[in-house]
Amino acid sequence: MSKGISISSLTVRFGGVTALDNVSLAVQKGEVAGVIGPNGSGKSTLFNAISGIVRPSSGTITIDGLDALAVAPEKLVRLGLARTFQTPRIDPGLPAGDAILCGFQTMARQSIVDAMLHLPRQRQEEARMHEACDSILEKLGLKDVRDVPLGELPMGQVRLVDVGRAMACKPHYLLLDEPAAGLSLPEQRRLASAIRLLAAEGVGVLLVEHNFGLVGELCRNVTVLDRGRTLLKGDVESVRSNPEFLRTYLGSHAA
Amino acid sequence: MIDFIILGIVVGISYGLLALPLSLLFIATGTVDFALGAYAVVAGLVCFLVGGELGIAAGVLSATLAAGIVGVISRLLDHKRRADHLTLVLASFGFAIFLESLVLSTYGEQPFVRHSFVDYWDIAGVRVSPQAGIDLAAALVVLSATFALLYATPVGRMMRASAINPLGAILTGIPVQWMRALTFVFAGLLAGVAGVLYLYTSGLSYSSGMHLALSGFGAAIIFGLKSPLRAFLGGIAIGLVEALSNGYLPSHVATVVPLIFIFIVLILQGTSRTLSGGRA
Amino acid sequence: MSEKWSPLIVLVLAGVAAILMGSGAAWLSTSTLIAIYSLLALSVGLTYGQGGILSVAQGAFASIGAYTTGILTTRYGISPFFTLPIAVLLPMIIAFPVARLVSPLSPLVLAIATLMFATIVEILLRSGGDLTGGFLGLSGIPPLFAAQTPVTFNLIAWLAVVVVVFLYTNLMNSAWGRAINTVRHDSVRAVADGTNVARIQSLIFGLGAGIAGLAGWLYAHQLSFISPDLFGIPVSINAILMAVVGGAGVILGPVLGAVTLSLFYEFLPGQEARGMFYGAALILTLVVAPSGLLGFVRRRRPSKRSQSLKSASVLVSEKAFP
Repeated sequence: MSKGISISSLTVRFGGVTALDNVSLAVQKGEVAGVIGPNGSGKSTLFNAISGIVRPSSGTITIDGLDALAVAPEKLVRLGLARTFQTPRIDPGLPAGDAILCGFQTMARQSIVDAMLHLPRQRQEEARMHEACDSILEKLGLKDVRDVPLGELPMGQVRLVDVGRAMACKPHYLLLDEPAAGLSLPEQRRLASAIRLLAAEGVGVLLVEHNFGLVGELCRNVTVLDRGRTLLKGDVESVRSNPEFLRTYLGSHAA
Repeated sequence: MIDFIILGIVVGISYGLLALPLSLLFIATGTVDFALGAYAVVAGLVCFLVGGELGIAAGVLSATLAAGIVGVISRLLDHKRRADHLTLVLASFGFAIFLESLVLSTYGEQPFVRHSFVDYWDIAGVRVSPQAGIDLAAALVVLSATFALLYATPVGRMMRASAINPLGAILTGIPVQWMRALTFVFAGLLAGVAGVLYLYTSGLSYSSGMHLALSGFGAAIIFGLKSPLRAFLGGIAIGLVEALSNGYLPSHVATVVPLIFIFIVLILQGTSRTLSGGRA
Repeated sequence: MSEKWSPLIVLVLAGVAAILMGSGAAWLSTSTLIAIYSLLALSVGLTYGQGGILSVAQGAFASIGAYTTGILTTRYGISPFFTLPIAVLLPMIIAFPVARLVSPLSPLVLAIATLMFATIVEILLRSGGDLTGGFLGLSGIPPLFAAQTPVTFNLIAWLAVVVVVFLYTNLMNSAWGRAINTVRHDSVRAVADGTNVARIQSLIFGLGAGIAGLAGWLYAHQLSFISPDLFGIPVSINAILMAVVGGAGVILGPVLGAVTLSLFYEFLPGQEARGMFYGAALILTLVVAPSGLLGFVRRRRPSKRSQSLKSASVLVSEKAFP
């Protein structure tokens, strides 16, 4: 059984628009693979297709040899695939800590009766989850805002919470959709080291970013998308110095 | 069998009358006004009490004014961030209950009806009042008018645009919120017309409103909430189901069959939507 | 954490007060009625306030509970305490498949489907012939135990409310509660958390039905008589009203709504004008304070942390939500 996420000739069409056209990509365990491209290049559609929110018109997606298209989206999460959203989907009234707690859903073994009666077994599980949640908050530097509602936090921290939520279920593969947007420099540092740590622990990370600096720092290989098609693919250095890449990004390579 | 079909069509025309404004409102705003049945009752009562030609005008006017209140509520809710999709629907529910109780308090429990025809037509052995013919004619007029409004006028285009893509409509300068409020009022007017017709057809009572709204919605949705024509045909369909089940099934089962029919149609439409939509 | 216990504490206090104050028979029966309505409103609170599913069928589930115990006690002589689990479970068993059928529907159509369902149930009960007593209903339903008095029944009714609030509070504080809230806010986010959205919706609907069934069971044994229109659609709407006015999203909201509105009704002129009051109250609440009384109060108190954040004027990038 081959390991890793393997995307092959993926095409996604919405009505008359071809959001993704014959894109192929692979992510290995322990690797951080990068995807960059301007807005509208299909990056989010790629994520939506992998995580099962959107059905591709053609192509295959396999995760550790399993046909991802044949599995229900929530099942994929239980099998070890987690993601963040480009625009975090949140409840503004929910405190940051509780938001990350939601990420432990797949690990919760408590039955509904356990929960309603607040049985010791459930109490212990909740305590374990709170502890694990605190350690994620610590790792991402969010300890101070644990009880602050998401609606009152700056976007950068909301994004970090989203990342924490995805990390909670100890995924095998993590899809990060522009996690660094709006982050201050120290927050970006913290995010980068968290990603590096995850990769070192064996998690396969697919990083979509606008911020080429971060991609260059974390990824060995990067895929460049342009209007749904693969423009370039290869290691960071060769892509960075590729004339066509420079042309497409002239004036828009982000600091 | 043919007599039940005739009967079914006659009853169905009545259902179709209210299904028309319900579907118009849904097409133009994406919501439902549960008080539409109550507007019909109010219109019928006012027409009954005032009498004559003036009564008809007064009835329709009162329904329109009542609907205006919901229009105002919809504008008030536009500014509320906490309101969810169902808030306006719930509010219209509340208004329906309010109107029902108002009718009960002012007039009482008794049904009210007017008959303007003494002779009956004989259609294939069934006694049909000429009122049915008037109802049908009125329905066809309303149908063509709403079609013309929605598809041949700039106002109609704006209404449809507001329903399909509210944000886009706002950006192109369409006063979406006012359009919505106006649509509520116009639907109320149509409900008023239906109410006056009901008064002359089978009569009304304080509690008819909810039943009318429910059957109207059922009628509107059977063939898909996509066009007033489908809504009207839906009304005929429900009328047929009701007449046929009344004819061939024992009475207590017969009352429930049209409802089960609508329930099943709702479910089937829901499931077909998920199947075609794929995994998400 | 302490906030999570306050619902229970307040409730116990209220229950005690109700019992102490009630010596007159009229007040006792009102108090019991308030308890039963609290359960119905809690049923709406759970299904709509937490789950986002507007169901106008809670009255129908209460009817099923009431008729279950009515039929089993009068026709088969089964003791009320044995009919209790059945009166709670049968509505749930019916609710699960109904939920599966209606959960793909959009919120509006779903509400209407539940309305249809409720009407169907009422008609079926009315035409049940000998089994359900037809449109006349069932009478002669025995009390819970021989020595039942209005005082003890009132106690039992409020005990039921306390138990339900206890289970409800625990549920919402657990992983299940978090999943339920996420499903309500954004089902895509819930799926990304690994939650089976349809299963959660069925669960919520089923639990709500069970609570309504309990309310029906209590009512049958208090009144000793039930009829098909006892828990008709107006009752379902009343329950929704109480939940919304009190604050559907807050655990104790529905109970507060039930208490407040029931007390108001006591001072209302006549039966006929009730509908005008219901309707006006619902509209007023939705326009002025859609999150209800308790929801309004809760939103007024910003969190302590955010206040300190605001006072320390740090370089803040764009807010997540303006």
